[in-house]
Amino acid sequence: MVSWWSLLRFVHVLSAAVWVGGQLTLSALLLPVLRRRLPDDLRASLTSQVGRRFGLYTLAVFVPVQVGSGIGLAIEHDVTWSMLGQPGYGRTLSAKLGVFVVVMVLSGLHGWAHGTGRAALARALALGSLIGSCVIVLLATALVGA
Amino acid sequence: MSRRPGLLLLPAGVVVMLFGLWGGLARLGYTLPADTSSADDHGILMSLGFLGTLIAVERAVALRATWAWLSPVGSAVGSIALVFGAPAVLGRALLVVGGVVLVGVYIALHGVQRSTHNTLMGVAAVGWVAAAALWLANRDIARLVPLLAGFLVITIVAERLELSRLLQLSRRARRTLVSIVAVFVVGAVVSTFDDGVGVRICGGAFVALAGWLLTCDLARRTVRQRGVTRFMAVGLLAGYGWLAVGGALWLGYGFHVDDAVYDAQLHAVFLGFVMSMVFAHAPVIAPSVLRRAFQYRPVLYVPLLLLHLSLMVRVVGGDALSSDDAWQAGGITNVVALLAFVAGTAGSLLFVRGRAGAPSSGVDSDRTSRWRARLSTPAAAGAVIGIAVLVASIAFANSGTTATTASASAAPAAAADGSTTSVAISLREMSIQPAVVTAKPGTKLVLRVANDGTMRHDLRLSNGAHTALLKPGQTATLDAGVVTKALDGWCTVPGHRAAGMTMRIALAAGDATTGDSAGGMANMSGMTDAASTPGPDAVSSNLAGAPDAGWRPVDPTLPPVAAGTTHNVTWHVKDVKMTVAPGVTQTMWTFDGTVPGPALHGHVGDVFNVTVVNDTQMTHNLDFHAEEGPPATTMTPIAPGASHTYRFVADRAGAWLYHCGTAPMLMHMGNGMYGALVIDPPGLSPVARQYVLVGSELFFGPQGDVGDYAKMLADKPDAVVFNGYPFAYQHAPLSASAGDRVRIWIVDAGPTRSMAFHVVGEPFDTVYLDGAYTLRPGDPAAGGAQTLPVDPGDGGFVELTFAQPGKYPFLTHAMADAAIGATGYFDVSK
Repeated sequence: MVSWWSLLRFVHVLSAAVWVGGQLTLSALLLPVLRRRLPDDLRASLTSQVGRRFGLYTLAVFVPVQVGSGIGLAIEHDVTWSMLGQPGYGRTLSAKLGVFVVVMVLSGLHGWAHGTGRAALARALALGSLIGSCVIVLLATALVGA
Repeated sequence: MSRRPGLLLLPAGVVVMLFGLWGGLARLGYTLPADTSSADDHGILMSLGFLGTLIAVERAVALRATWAWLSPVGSAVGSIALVFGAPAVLGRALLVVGGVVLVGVYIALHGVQRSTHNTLMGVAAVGWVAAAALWLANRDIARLVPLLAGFLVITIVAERLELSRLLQLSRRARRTLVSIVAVFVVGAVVSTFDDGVGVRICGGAFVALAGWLLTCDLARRTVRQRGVTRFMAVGLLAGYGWLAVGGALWLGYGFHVDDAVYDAQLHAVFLGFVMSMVFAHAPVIAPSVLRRAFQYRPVLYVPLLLLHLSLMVRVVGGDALSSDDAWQAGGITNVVALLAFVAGTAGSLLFVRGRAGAPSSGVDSDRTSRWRARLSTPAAAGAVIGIAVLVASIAFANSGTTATTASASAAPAAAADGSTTSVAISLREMSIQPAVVTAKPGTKLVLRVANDGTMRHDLRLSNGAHTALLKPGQTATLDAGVVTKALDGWCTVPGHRAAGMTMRIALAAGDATTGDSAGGMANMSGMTDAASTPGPDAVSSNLAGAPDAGWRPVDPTLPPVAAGTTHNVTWHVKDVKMTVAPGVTQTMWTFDGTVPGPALHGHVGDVFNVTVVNDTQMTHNLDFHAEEGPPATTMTPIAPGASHTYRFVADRAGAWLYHCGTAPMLMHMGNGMYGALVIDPPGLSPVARQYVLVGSELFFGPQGDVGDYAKMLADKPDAVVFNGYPFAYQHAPLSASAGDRVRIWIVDAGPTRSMAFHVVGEPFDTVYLDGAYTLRPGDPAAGGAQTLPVDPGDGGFVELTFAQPGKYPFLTHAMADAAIGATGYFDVSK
């Protein structure tokens, strides 16, 4: 049944899909092609510009939408602080929140490393953040069943 | 590859590994969607199925003889057969074949070139044969461990010997090795009749072997080199360490089964040593077997380190320090490590820069390759970060919920204030032991719940705490919280609570009950899962009243025998909410959606293949009274979501009952799981009409719920019915024509009442009961019959000819039963 709550969940899921999907598309599909087809300097300026835009989108749109809709969903589910420590749904949700924070930190560090020319570190952080995003999706699917 | 199709067996080996790991996860207590035998066969799938196939492929490549491929084919096909539920005998026999052929391969290789390593491998392969043969003879897998370990460990050591030909081994060193292996063989042989002594001897041999390897192997020196050489040496040395640890555990603890010691004993040797050796050798063996270049990359350290770290977490944290979370987290990371290894190896074989040939150390003149080699370290670091996040978050998310290693030993407990008390609870058919746990108020109570039964069970407490649905043999910890008031506990699988699967957590202070399991029956009217106090049973104000809208009578016409002598049908077992009497709706358990289930009809000698798909959350089975064979094998239980084909030849004529025979059978039969199987006696004369009526009783539970078990036990039906509904054929009379012969088949499903089938106003001229005619027209005694007496679980038929048109009631002549529903009409026309 479609209700206002399902609309809220829709926004939450859609926004997450755009972010994780964007991350995957950029790093798994676009970057390898750019590496092969563009000269190094052009590629560097292009990727850093795309990266900055993605970072801006993350801060300006993604994080506010996720946090806002997430709080709404928590209210709908009657989530309380003490519940977060309980086995099952509570711990899965807190694991998801924890990984979200970790991924945001990793992404931020990635932007910083990229901007300061630490290519190897940036790459490691990007991959860590990407896997972390997938873990969030995994935990989210686990929540539906919990 | 195309020239050697046999190499396709390698993916088959990997598939077996995946199923083996799946089984491993199930053993760790994870609830997995599919139900396979992989958990039981985990050890065999990993050792003989996966590694056996790899070893056999390698040796078949070495011998270059077509017949040698029979060995990996035997192990791979045998294992896959086991996984997909083929008869155990078939899979196990194929494993024996694989082992025997492998021994043959070594004998053939011995003819080509004699060597110590080949002889040792031959000895190892005998271990495979012995293990598989004993398994075929139904020996428990736990007792095959020395043989399986012997097969793998000796094969690997011999492989080291083969590869270290470069190293000048002194004759003494060689002789020492042979003696150690000889001691191990003695231990393995002893273990076949005395596990305790045999395991200790084998353990001693492992310790000695680890010492020998650490002293004599090249690895100690090559670890100081770089690249792939160093990678291999690290894997080898770590493996030798685990062999020493495992050997010490075998030596010190002797034979253990299914406990923490067993877990550590096995995985130190099979994961710590064997798998580490496999990881270490992959850069050499994979390219030589596949004739493909192998590009080593430092990222291969990821699975290696994951394997060893996770094994340490599992053995130290899980097994030694009894942390279930550590045990599970370590175990699942073991699986991740193996998968990462497979992925890494595949990647190293597929993504190679440069020409095929010898193993490459990853440093290549090609520019792209250097670029890749440089970038692989960050990639590895990123992967480690990601996997660490994955493992940590899953471990946390799943903590406190799932199963544990602790095996329950029954001990009802009382406890001190404020402390935590742990009590073992055993679930089985149909009781919970202990039935009463007394605890002082304020105690934090943790229940270690073990399903010691043969079906799925769970435990739910009246405060809402509950375990997952546990498979047989599975355990779980249930945090009951701080006890402030008495709690009830029960199994939520429908019918189980009613059948006695209840318990109580009582307060120790005051007049705490100390009752026994018989107290469970006191609760039997409670049929709902959610609430501890169910609503009242439904009541029909007028059983003979007009049926509810949408009701349709079950078609009483006996279906004609389908063409052919083999009858294939598929039924779905379903829980169906249906109207069972005016104003009464019940959740009935059904064969294919109706009560009674579909009528089957055939001739003597016909074959029936009845495929039953279980769409419910509960185990069911099917008992055809016409079928022969031990119930344990012919009446196979079907787990939720599973299906099974019951196959039998109808050797005997009769009106047979079929029903669900799952405990508590009274509940399953009282709630609708029965039907009729009609096998015509030879030479049955044709009649104008044939009807089949299944008599049974209904016991109304709360509206919409399942039937009331207490009423079933007390033999207090709310209605006695023909074909599932009271007075069904008063609302929809059976039709016949005057002068026509009518045959009525009667089967009494009970569960408890007999029937005396009678047609008011027309005696029977033919009666068939208990497989014989007791009355036929033209009998010299010139008799007639007035009732067909059918006991529960029995059936027969009568024939009659209505002389005149009119309305003829039929009923059971047990009048109390006729009054509550077992009555109908024949509408006889001209």
